[in-house]
Amino acid sequence: MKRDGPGPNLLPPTSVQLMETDEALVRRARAGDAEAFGVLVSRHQKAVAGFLLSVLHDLDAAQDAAQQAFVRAFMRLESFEERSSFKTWVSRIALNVARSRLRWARMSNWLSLDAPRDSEGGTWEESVRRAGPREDETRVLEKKLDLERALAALSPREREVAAMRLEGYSLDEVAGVLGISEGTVKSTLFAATRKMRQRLL
Amino acid sequence: MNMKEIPQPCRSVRESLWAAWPRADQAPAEALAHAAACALCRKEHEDLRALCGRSSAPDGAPLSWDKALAAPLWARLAARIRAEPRPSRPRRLLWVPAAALAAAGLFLFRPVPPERSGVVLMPAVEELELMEHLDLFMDWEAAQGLWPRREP
Repeated sequence: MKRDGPGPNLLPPTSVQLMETDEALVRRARAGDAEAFGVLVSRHQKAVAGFLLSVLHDLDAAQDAAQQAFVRAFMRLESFEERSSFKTWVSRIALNVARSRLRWARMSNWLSLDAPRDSEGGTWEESVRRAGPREDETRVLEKKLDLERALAALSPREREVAAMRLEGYSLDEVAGVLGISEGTVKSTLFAATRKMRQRLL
Repeated sequence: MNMKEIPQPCRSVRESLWAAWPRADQAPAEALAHAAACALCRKEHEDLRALCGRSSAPDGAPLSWDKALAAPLWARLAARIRAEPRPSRPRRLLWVPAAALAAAGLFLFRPVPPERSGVVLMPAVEELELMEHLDLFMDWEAAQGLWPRREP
């Protein structure tokens, strides 16, 4: 269903759109249907933004990087050859965005993995708290933060693999996003979980 | 125990087990069967379950960041996409003939090595004159006289 107007509308996806496959939505988005692209975004935003948060350690940066990745994907839809799934493709774009941000952050020392700070000057943990879990979710949040600290101690590659697994990416999808074999994903994950065991168990 | 000391079958079982993280219930059946029979690997499986417990919410779902990232992206994205309209297809296709012309130009004007061209390069007349008077280079004034004078 296409609506009139100057650009993408902000209505939630309909049940019909939710049943459409990613491939069909990509085809419609390619034909200029921004609403179809909106459905793709709502379908994959949590996974993409979630793993970006674990990679970037900064809530604002993760949301901004996810936004940048989806905009970039929309601009480059013509070049998407559908050799991988849309989720893998957009995640690869998101990872490149995150990596370039990390490179820039390392260069300018704006981000520190030991004491990450958000744009409002608070620590990363404070920014997560501001985002607002309810009181009864505090224990879950504490668990998340423990896990996040364990992830922060991993090497960049291990962190990327672990973050994607945590967000529900299959081994095959992780391999596709990182451009490595499934065997390498497994051995990287093995090394990552060994380090996490030492911190968390 | 050092990884090198672990027998190969146990090593691959452990990799398969840990590849299931953060969902212990997704560990392959063969790996679970081995873990049931092997004391060392059983300990690994217990560790996997414990780590999965530390990586999941009370409902057992992995601790992803859905709460922290609850604000939907699409509202902000839509505004940004509206501000940056996607390049239209015809404009993109203009690059194809341009690239083809550039490639043809590069091919036509590529440098050809003299031995392959079949043409013997002859020195220009001025160069021959200069070669005849090479010894005159010792005298800069004389060498300058070989070249036509240019008006400023």
